[in-house]
Amino acid sequence: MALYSILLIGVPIAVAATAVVIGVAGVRNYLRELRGPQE
Amino acid sequence: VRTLDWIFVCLYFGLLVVIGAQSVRRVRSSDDFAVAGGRITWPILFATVAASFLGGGSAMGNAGNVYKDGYVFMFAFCAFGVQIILVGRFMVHRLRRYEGAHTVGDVMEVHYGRGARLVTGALSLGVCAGILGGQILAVGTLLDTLFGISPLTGILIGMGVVLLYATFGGMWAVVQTDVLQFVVLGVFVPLALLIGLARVGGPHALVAHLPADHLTFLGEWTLPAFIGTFVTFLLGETLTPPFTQRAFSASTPEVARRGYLVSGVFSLGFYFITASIGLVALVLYPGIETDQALPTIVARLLPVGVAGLTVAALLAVIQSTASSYLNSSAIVFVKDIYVPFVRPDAGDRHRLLVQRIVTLVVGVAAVGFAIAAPSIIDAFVLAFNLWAPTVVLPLIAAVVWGLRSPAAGLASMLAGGGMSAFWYWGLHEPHGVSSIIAGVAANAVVFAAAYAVAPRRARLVRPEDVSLAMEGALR
Repeated sequence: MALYSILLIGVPIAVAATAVVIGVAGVRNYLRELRGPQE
Repeated sequence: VRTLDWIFVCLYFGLLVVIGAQSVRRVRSSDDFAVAGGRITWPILFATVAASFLGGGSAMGNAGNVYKDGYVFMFAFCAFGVQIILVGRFMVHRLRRYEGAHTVGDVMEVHYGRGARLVTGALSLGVCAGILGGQILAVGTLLDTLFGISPLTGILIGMGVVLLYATFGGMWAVVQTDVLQFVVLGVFVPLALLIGLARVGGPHALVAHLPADHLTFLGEWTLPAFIGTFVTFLLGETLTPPFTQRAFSASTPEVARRGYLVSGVFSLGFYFITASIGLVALVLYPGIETDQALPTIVARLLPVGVAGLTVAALLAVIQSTASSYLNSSAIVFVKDIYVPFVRPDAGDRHRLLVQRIVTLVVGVAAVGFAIAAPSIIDAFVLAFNLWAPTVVLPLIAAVVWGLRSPAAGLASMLAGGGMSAFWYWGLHEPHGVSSIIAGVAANAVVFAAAYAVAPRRARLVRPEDVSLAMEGALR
């Protein structure tokens, strides 16, 4: 039960944190692409 | 759904349009349109792979089935994530040897000849149309449930923007919007679970109110039923066109491998979240229709603002999958059918133009069928069931072991497809064995037999010979 409780709260937080980190990387990549073609 | 929710949904649509419009000027060649110039870094590849295969089935479908059967469905559904992990571990870096390839047909021709490319191209189109059609219907249902607007209007709103950015921006636009959609779905779907869990009273209260069999590994399923479903999910979507295309889009083999592995692991977490939302819905709203589990949580439970953002997240789940399959259908048509068999002398500008026209035509046709004749979409969804029994094992044999035999390739594809169709329509899937499993078995047996009796000359394409073989296969 303890493990299940940890998963129920921990997994959503981990998934959301991952999405935020990827979002930051995505914005940086997007801005780099906007500045011009990458060779 | 209230005004603030509408504002957030409109904001999400606005961002899609802006990103799509910015991507148009990045597309200068058919290579840019098909594989984004082959320059995608691993976090972006991770996001686009995850956003593409986390579709309506992973969110609404998983939540609804877990509402009905318990976690057993989620454990079976995890086969999709396991498949992505296995492909990432054993295949994607090998796919990168096929320089200049954009489609599964490009690889199949090297090992099994032009006939195999044509069959693979036709099947790829069927798969793309089936999954695209399914997502379009899901957009209509979702907006109907949450906003009370007609499915027709919902489909036109939800798919109009997708058509726009996929047609003009190609893979560049699809990848950039995938990242936005990944972030939206990755943040707000988990938030919906946490809010639902708090409303139930926490994990202990959730467990106390659930039927015991909803929390066990097998629930009320039998072990053979579980294994059958798991294998069907494991093979059903393996290396379908958008995922092969993404392997070719990565900047290096290591980027491809890492992107796939991480997105496979991420998907397991996402399945757990949508499954648990299904259980929260069962406790809070018993007696609703199973496929309404997740939409009901959004509509009735979430506070103003968060509800709008979660609607955007669910739209993101569906639209990212739809745009990926829409883009792939155009690439497959041009690379596997139009150029090899209709216009071998087509220049790059002509290819790019045809890719854009096909994207628009397929998108409009799919929306039209979804609105006017959903049974045609059902037919394409059935075509999706032919993918694993025909293409997957010969593709694995080609990419992992380098096997080459046009006779074995074509014979096994026909046998697998034929067996799968007969098992489904002729025998009506006896003993609960799915047509995919029966077809894959026939495919494997015929491939092994035909390969064993094939002439011994040139039965392998060695890794160092792939480039040479590609020059012959690619136009």
